[in-house]
Amino acid sequence: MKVFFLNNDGGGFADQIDVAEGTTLGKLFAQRMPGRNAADYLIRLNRQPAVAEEILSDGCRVSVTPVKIHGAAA
Amino acid sequence: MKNKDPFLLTALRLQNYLGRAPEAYHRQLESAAENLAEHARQLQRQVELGRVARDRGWAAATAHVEEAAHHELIQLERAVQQAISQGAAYSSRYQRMVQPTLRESFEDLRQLQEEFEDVQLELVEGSISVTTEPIELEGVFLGPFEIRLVLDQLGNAADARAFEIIALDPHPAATNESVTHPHVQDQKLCAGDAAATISMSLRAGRLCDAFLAINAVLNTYNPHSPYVALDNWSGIACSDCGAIIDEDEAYYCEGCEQDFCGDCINSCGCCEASRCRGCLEEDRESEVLCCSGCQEHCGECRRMVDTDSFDQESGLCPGCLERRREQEQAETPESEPQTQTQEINHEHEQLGQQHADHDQSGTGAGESQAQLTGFAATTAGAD
Repeated sequence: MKVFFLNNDGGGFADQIDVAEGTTLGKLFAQRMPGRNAADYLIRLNRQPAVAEEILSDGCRVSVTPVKIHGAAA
Repeated sequence: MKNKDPFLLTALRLQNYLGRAPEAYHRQLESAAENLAEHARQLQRQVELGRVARDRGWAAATAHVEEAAHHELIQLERAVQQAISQGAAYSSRYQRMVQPTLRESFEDLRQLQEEFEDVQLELVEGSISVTTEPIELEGVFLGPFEIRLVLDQLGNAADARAFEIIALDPHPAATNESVTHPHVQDQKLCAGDAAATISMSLRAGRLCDAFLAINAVLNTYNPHSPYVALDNWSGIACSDCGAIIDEDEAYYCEGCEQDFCGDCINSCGCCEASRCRGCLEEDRESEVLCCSGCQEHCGECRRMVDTDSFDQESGLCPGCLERRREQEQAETPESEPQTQTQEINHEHEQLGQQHADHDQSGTGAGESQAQLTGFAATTAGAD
């Protein structure tokens, strides 16, 4: 199935990705963001907060946004 | 329109802004088109002139005009190449624009409401604002911020510059009031690592992601690149070197009414009052630093003199006073010997008068002589 995955860590890329049936939100995060701690991100499923066990459905929208990003001085 | 839902109205308005190329690109395209059209007109004119010259059998004029036409053709080719290269440069800099659907924009605005407690949609002004939670970084309280997206700004810059970051309960840096957050100056965020995310989100019409990325920057401190480091956030800035110091460690200069650090404060060499270096002037002879109250001016050479060195009676500096005394002494040796001579002569006159009196009164000259001799004898005896 297809999932619209938005990774706002770094470049903020958006992709339609292929995901196996029955994949949970937590599993997708582990696959796409290896070594990262889920607590450091705002993870939204169809624009809503969701638990890691939530099973993804075809055409759903998953976004991952860091809660902390380094700013700078101009 | 019957539907007055401000989220829908704003989403409709957003359709005019999101997914568009910057105004600069449109201006560049217009300029390139005008340039090409102008060269094409010039070429056409030269070709027509050449035809007239040929019809009339003007060989020299024909050659001249054809050369001019060839020149215009080369110019036209250059203009085309330039327009193409500019377009290619634009394509490499910017990703292809994505026009979000009305539904996506609407849902994005609705998501803002889920992510932030306070969302303001100003349709007249054309802005979307959210309010952050009160922010505290490394123990420094900065207060809540309003993140405002001005829609008109999107046409010029679809990136962090389109946002205004307004401190709602400002706790600015001691050294710079325009810095309300380590990464915000003059209400503009330096997005740092979030710059690409914000830009990409705006170009794809994902407003909520851009707001969340900005919120993430505001909730993070990057000690390697702040406008003002949090270590130097509070306290008093030395008016001379700019160092941040605790209020208790600051020195106050009554001369300029500013605060200074221990390294930049000094004191008057006469009255010992605390003054900054700028409020002290050095007596160039004594090298004593003086405050304005301890500065005198020599009545002769006019230079500034520290009040301790200044001679109040004469109104002179030590140097001028010494010169005056030397001058007076130089005048004295001519008049003093004359005075002594006069005194001696006067004594001699008195003695002579006494002598005469003694003679007249029958006292022998020998007595006076004895007196003089006795004096001499005493002196001789003393020797």
